[in-house]
Amino acid sequence: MLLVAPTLLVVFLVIGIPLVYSLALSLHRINPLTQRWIFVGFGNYARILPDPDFVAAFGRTAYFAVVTVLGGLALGMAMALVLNMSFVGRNILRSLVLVPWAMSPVAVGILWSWMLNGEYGTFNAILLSLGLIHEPIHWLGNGTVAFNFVALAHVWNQAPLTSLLLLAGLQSMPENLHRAARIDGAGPMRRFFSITLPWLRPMLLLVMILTSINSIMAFDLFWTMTHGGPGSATTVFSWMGYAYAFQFFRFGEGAAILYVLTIVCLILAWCYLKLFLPAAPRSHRRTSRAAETALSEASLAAGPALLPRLMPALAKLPAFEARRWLSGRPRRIAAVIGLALAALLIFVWSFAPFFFLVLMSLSPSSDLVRSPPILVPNSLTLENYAYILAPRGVAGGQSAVEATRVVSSIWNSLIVAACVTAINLALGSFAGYAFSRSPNNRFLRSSLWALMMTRMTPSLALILPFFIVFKTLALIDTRTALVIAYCSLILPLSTWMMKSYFDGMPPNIERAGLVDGCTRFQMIRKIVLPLARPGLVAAGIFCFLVSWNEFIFALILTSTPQAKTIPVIIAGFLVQLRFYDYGPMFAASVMAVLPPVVITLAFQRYLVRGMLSGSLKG
Amino acid sequence: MASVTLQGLSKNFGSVAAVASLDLAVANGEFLTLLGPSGCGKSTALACIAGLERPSAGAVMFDAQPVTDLEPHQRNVAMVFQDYALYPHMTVRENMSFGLRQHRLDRATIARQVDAAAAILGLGPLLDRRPVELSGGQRQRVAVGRAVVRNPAVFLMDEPLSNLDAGLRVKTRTEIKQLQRNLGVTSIFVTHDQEEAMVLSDRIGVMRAGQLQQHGPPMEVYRDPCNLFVASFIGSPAMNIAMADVTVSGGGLTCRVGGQPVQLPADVISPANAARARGMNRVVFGIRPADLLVGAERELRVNGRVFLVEPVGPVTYVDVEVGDWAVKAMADPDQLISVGDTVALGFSPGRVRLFDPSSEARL
Repeated sequence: MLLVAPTLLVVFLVIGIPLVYSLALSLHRINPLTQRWIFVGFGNYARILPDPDFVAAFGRTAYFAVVTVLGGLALGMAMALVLNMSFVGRNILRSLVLVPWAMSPVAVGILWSWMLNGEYGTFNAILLSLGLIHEPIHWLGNGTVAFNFVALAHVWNQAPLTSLLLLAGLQSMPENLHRAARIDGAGPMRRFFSITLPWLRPMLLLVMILTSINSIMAFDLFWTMTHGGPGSATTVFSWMGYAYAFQFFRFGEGAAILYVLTIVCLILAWCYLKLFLPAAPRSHRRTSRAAETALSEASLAAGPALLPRLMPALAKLPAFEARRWLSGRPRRIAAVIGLALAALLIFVWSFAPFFFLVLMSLSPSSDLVRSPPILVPNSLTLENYAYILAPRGVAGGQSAVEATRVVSSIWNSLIVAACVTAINLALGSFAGYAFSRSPNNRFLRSSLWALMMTRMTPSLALILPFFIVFKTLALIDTRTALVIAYCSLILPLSTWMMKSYFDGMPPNIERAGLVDGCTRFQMIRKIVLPLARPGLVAAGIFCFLVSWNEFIFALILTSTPQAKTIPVIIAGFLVQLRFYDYGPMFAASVMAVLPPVVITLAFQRYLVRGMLSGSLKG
Repeated sequence: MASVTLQGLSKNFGSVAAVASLDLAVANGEFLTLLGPSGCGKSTALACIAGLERPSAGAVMFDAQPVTDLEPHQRNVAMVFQDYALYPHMTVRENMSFGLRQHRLDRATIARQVDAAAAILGLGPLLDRRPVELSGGQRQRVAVGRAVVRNPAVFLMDEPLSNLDAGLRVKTRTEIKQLQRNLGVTSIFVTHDQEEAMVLSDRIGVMRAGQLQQHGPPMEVYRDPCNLFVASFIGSPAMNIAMADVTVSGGGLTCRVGGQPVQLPADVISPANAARARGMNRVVFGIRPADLLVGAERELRVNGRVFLVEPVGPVTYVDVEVGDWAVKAMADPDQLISVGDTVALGFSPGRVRLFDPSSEARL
């Protein structure tokens, strides 16, 4: 109880109150100038729901979610299957695959919108040099195309998480299942659908919930790539809520939109649970019956053999007829070539965009805006980095305002991410431990569910009340505000991760500690925590990545260099972009993605291990 | 039904030779056990026979037809795994019929075949349950059933009993033996449990570090182990071993074990090894606890002090210090023996086994 209290307190205070507050908001009309609240009941909802713009945004969100969830699932599954095979360089590839996921969505958006840039973009450069097109195409100028490219960028960013989770699931699968199926004559496709997929079902549930919610709430990419345009072609739900609340200052309607979004997420999560876990209660009942039969069987164990003396005849089955179009040596060679190709494709897909980002950050500004666009710069230079690291020292020193703030923003990001990670690991592991070790406590079980439910609330829905609450507390534009906000967002996830990890740890080790004379607290500190290190590292990486990469909260809650974090600064470049700012913007993006990428690469093996243990039970 | 021949079968994992040039023939309908400690390559050899692993060199032949390049399902083999590898999301019936469905048999044939196999193993009441709803013993039976239902030419079992508790293990091995005899199917069984191997097999092949040490009928391997490894691996409790000084005397030789002279006839050493043995002044002296009887009148005896008594029911094992040699001997459970007693241990020279201390080969 004591262990869970801080986490529950933080989460429910910081999420619960704002949710109630924003419910209240959505029931009022607020005058932004006079701050006067007028109760309108469901008036906001009644006005919004039939609005054709609203319906269209709803449809776009649904389309975006379906496309990105299914696309991400297919891609993540394919990558996980390849990465689960054994080949030279597998470990390196397993790390590199995570690069897109470690990058902040803002940096991803900047990278992709540049690659798709209508005049200078990489895509145009490649297609032009291959002779496939004769003049640059303005990809993001066409609404449908732009929308699908945002979806593609989202999949690029999110698929690694899917593949990481599925890879953990694949690794927990007993090898003999596939060997048994091979002996039974099941080919690779049959085995995938009949053995692998059913095995991954609990993991798929988790993946579907996480990716659906990420897709529905996707915001950063729309902000950086399209701003909901051209026209309203990429105006999804979350963008619409943001625009109402923070661009048109119609707080009541904005809150109503975001509340609808929250409810949609909750309903969706409930549907997934029903869909994927229908068998759970039934098997519980049956297990007890199995235990009874086991008992009677044990008492018979010593008795004589039970096989009948006269056995029924087994029919001799016809010989197997080959159905495969290749067999023996050619098949093996084809398999090797196929695997190599797949590995190469995964490498290019995951790494090439990141490589272009680095390349562009090292290009002179003049090469970035050459027309027709070029793929390889004429020379490499560090001037972009010099420009942002020592803004005043550069000749012609007309640095953009944002460029002067990169260093301080990295410092802000670092402090915020470090604090959030430390707080989360402390509170999350204590709470996770308590949840894990008393699974039958009613209060704890229901509070764990409530905790997970808060994960389903889109963070956008919380921003408005956060903004107002922090304003009253005079915490606006401070790092403290960000730390509080992020902690409440991430704590449910880190608690859950730690709980899953503790679930996989044998309780007897702890009993041994208690028998050896530790107090309960000493035992946790001296035995449980050291053993839980892989789980702690994995959870720590998550906390760090999420808080380092977070954008919307930082955008709304900070306004000056003393608290602005690096994603906000990069996004700031976009607002007033002059051609000589491109280079520094890419340099800042590289600086922004480097820490998470390095950390992810360094601790990749902990990630899989931390995910693996017990998460299948969850 | 088929005979199985392994010719120079080798399997390397990187630089490690898991199986090194294994030659072995299993006759049609025979029950052969590959026995050895963990990591000796027995399971790898079995996987090569099943077609799950590709041998690095050598050939696998069924009925003198090479099958080395065939996929597992083309070989008409069935396999029982140590962890059973039941498909967790399928019912028992679906588990058993999965292979038949892959072979695209018609429904009626599948149903008939599954029912027959279920009747043989008494699985009828379990057919609609899933593996999680079964006890360990029931799962094991389903795994056997899934293999039997194919009516395979060769039946492969990879430590199928080691996840069962002791009582069930003894019962189940009887059933497996009965099943195999009734079906007459060629079977290859892998285990590290020498007792299981002795009970079940027509023939045992003992492996160590990828190499086949010896193969033959159980009692032959038990009585005439070809080297120290086989001698100490087979038999429980293990054979008593001591270094002994040896001198040639009269028509035989004298070994000093635990400081006491033991006079052995010349024929404890096989004639082929006699010349080699003459040059040695130390040998490894071995005798099984079951051949070393407390207080029994035999041609030979050594004396010692009892330091532990271990009754197991049908017999009592007695741990005795013979000089500096701690040996385990067997006593009648009704004999009154207490710790500290001085006892005589009688044995026959025909049960003494001598080994070359450098090569560990039998002399």
